[in-house]
Amino acid sequence: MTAPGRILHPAAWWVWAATMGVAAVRTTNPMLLAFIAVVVVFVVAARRSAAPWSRSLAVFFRLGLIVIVIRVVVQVVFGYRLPGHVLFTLPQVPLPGWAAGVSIGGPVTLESVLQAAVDGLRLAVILLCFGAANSLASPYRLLRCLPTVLYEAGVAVTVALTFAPELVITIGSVRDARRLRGRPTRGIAGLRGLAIPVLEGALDRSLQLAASMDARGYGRRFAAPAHRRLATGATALGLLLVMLGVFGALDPGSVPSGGIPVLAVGAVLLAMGMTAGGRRSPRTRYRPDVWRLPEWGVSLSGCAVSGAFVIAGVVGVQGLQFTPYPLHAPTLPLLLCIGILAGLLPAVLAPSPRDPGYRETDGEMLVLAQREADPSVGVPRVARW
Amino acid sequence: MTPLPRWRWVVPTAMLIGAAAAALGPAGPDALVPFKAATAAAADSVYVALVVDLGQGYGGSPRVVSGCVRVPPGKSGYDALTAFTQQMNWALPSYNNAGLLCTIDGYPQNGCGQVVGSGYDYWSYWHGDPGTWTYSSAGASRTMQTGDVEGWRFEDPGHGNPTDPPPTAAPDFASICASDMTSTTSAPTTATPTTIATTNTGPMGSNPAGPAGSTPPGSIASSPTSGSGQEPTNPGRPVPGSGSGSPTTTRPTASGGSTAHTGNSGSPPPRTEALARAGSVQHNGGDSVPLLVGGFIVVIIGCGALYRWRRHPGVP
Repeated sequence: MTAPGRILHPAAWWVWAATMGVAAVRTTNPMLLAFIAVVVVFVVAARRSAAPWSRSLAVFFRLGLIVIVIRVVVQVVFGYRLPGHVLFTLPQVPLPGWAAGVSIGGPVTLESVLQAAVDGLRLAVILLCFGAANSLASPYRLLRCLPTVLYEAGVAVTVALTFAPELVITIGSVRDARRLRGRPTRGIAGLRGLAIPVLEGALDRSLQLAASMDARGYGRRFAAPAHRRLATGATALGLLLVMLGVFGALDPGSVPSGGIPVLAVGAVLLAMGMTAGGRRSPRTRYRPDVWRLPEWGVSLSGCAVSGAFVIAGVVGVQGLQFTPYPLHAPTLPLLLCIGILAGLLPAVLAPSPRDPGYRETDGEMLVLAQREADPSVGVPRVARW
Repeated sequence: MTPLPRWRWVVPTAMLIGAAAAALGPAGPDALVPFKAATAAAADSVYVALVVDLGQGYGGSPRVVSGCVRVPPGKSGYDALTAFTQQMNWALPSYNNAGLLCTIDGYPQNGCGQVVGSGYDYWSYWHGDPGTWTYSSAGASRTMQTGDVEGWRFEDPGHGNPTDPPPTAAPDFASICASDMTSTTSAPTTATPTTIATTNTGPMGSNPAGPAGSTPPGSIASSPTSGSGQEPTNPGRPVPGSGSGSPTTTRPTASGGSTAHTGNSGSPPPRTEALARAGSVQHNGGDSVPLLVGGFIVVIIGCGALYRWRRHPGVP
């Protein structure tokens, strides 16, 4: 099944990570969330390359921990106060009647802390899935897979897609530089010296990349023919509708009939716009990323996981949702756990970076990354402007 | 050299914490709750009338239950509802992760604020203090005072606004709470605590709370039998308006409520009790074996991930 000597299509990793994230959105059961988290981490640990962005997961893991802590602290200090098992009582500030639902201080119950921790955990797992996609997929290769129509929004798309990996790369280089100069890299002192150069550097590099793409004609402004503008408009509208539909599918009740019709209309519009727009500016690709059996396996395993969660939500499986009011231990739906284990398949299906024939080795990777940052290198293009 | 920056952060932080402790310490944690202290001084406990309208709950027959609960001062409407469910020997109310009330007495069995057609199946919350029901757009975190009437009606479905139908029973505090108020004022002081502890507000009564917190739950469960002899002194209390609620003479979970009200009694005993109760509830949850197996699998996969993460990537 594994095909040594090539890297997996980046879109396959994104599909897998996104569908794992969808599964995390659908549940509030801490056991299931922990299952999703370890599965995601395992796959990343098994299949990450030596690229500088492959440490993204560690960064997002820490970010997730911070999210949980902040969520719990906010609940303890400002949260709603429902009856429960009181752990301790904070000094309370009386608030006017219109501030109902918010409080400052008061009794802190075990239930509320648990609730906040589970909420934070869910967000942390979603962040972890995002980090997994960032550390597994090459952002530059992903950029090359973008549909032609989206080149119109070149700068914005480039910054959006490469900001997180650039951030991780910059963190590494700034830390290395500080360590060489004997400055602290850990703790608050380290964070103080790290934060500004890292943020600045990451944005700088993203903008630089975007500017270089801009200079090569991405996101250019010119008098486009009417049908071309129509295609761009259809794509934008389709994207908007797809977003609305996905929102409806994730949050039942927010959009009429689950957002499925909106999603369908949006998808059709998007497909029409993309095919119409893509036909106008044909270009060839150097070493194109292929979509073969491993790609199908990876993305379908993710779809199986999120599908299991969506179906469980529709059927009403006990234990999918967990609230600590009244206090009880979370149950463990067996079928869903087996469903989550399907998400482990990419650790076997995807080509391993440790295979002898794996193309991108340690030293070559940075050079390759830089070369890919510059799309003109080795990319013969047929442009019509 | 390296510890120096850390110390620089530690000292101001410690000073800040010390200053905060010095400011708040002598006054105690209740320093910032003047109204609470005031009400505590004014009245020993608060009587609240509750009307719970389950709509067409459980089998299609309309079901409206009303009753009077006694809570310590400073408690919220949520506490009053919890006390009421305990008094009725119902399942505790459950809330979703946004703090929305999902069930009272386990009703509805599934869904929480579920969309039905163009409306929602949800528990609406009403204030009945002026003699008519007024819809509450906020949660029940208002501090309870004697004379408050709290209404909960299951809307199936409603539209989430004040035009939804109010509870069908009248918000008449006098008639709902009459027997309770008179029984406490007229009954001898020796008899009152036991009757309230057994049939009405045992968990949150201020005088039984002291011994109740320190004794194991089992001994409290036996107290209804001792108190049942005095039941005729206040027969009307737990009987709801529609008469469908059974008189709550046997209440094995009587001790549970005290955990929610540790604010006015000594904190150490209720806290241990709370933990013990939490443990027992978890145990009652039953299937701890699959949970343990699941945790085991999570730990195994996690260790495997950690092991592979530590290995240098990209090397054959």
